[in-house]
Amino acid sequence: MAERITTNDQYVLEVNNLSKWYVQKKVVKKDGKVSKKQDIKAVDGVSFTLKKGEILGVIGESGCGKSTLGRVLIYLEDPTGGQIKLFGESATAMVKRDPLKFRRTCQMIFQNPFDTFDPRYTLRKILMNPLKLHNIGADEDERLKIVLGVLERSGLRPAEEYIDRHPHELSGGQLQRISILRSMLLEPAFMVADEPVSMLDVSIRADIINMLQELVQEHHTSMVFISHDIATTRYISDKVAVMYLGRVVEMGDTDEVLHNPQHPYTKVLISNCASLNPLEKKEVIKVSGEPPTPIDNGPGCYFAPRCYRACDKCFKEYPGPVDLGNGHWASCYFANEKDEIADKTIAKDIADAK
Amino acid sequence: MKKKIEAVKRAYKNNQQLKVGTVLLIFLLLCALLASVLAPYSPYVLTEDIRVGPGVNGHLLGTDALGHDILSQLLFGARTSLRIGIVAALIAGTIGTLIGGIAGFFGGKVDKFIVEFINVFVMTPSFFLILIVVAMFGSSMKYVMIVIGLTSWPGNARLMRAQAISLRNRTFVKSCQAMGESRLSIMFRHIIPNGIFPIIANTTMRVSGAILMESGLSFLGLGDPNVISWGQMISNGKAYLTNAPWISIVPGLAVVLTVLTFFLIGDGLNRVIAPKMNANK
Repeated sequence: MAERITTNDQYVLEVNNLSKWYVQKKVVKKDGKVSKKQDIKAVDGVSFTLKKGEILGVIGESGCGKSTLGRVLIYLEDPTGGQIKLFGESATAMVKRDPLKFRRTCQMIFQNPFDTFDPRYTLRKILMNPLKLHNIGADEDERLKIVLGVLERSGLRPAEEYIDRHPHELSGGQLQRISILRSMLLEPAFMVADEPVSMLDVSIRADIINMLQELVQEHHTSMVFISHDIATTRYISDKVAVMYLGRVVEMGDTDEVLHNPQHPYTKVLISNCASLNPLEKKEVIKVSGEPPTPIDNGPGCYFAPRCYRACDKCFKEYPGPVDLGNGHWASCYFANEKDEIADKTIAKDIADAK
Repeated sequence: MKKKIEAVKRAYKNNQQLKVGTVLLIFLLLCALLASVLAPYSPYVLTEDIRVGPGVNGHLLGTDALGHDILSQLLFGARTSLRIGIVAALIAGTIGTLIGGIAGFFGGKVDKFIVEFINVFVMTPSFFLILIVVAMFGSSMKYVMIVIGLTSWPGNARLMRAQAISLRNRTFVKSCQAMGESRLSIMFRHIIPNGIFPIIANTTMRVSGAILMESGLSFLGLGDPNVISWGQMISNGKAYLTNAPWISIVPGLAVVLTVLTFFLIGDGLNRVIAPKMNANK
């Protein structure tokens, strides 16, 4: 991992107990009371901090709230509770006071590059509009120069020929590159990348990831990188957060978390990671079922019903974070204890990876 | 752009309805535009021939009880009918698009309120509403156009609302939001242009509805008495249905033809541009 400027100790982003609950209208009986609404806790009490240039990878199954977290972080949806602070200033206040400035500070890259741009617009309009909106570039000519530069950099050469094309005339990789470069035009301090390569052809994923990494390093942008691909996440991120049902269950430095996982869920994820060797007979930790919808999961650990080492205690109370040193923590009663099932299956993987 | 035009051309060629509709529309427009050239008589002049049948004394379609040449009246009536139909449908289209777009895109309480508002308009018997307005404000052509437009937008509003709801969850709308575009700008620059195709088709069909409505009003004697319209001609002829049926039948057929034209075009457009314009452009 290349060195980044982290001398500035001020946090770019501080997220404290962030949550996003959706309300579903449904008659439910609970404790003898009939309620007409129930909360779906898509994101529930997520906290983390990001320094300048740091990249946090967020991994987890489909439906665990990763994308919702991303959208809430850049206020595409309003959080239900908790705080987001940008450079020590409340983001909620900033969005209200000066939405353009907030948008310039926080950017997002979307999962589906084919739908990121208005299908009726040409690349010229798509790229010029944000520049105009944020008053970048002195006049039309200068903006055009910037736009042509972007197209050149995204591999569309000659740029003059591509500038009047529509998005559907380009490939997914080209579109995603443009999407990334467009976001970087605003020089954001913080960026959310919501599975930026999951819709792309495998052969160009590495390209896109490398480009993203280069740009982020160049501008010292902090990033939340959302993905369900552990390998990609490991490649790009400094820290990793593992999410399950809206909660972060384990977080720490990438190498720490992936080489020395302590939460059973992290272990299951890693053990089920595909191997390059097709002949290798791998033993994986199996868990049954799918993650339930995040409604009324309490009071115990959310993962307990599927966990291979759950005990009575796990069903009674949600385990608090256990500090494992170096900023690595896991929400599990068994963190830091010997785990024979996992040791047998993933020890080899981890050794390989090292 | 070239590709788009070619695709539309191809779709147009394969669509019989649209072809027939366009030919008829061009014919109607020519009739209306060239009325003063084509008409053998002034529509207001009273000729010597009273209630003569088609073909007699050079009156191709005959004359009415006062001696007006029916062909001439028909040609000038086309102007009224087309103008009222198109203007009223445009008013309805614009209002419907705006209201539906706001409801669908902003959602929440705004949406709930507007939906109820639309429902109120759907429930109101619009013909009677028009009758009341005409009775109160008089029956000039301007009022008739505006009133028809103001009462026939709910269909468009519903269509646009559905479009806006499906569009607002698309990634490109979210991405515009993330870029910092204001909600109004997103609505006018992205939601409405991308969702307007079904409205265009529907508005074309609404033209025929407006023409029918105007004919109905004129038939009841509530049209503008100063301009010739087809409904008025039918109304004039109703007393002579047994001995001079052509006085009513000819303008009646003209209404049928015009309504058919706009339906053919509207339906054809619907097939050509919506719902998958993006897929084949």
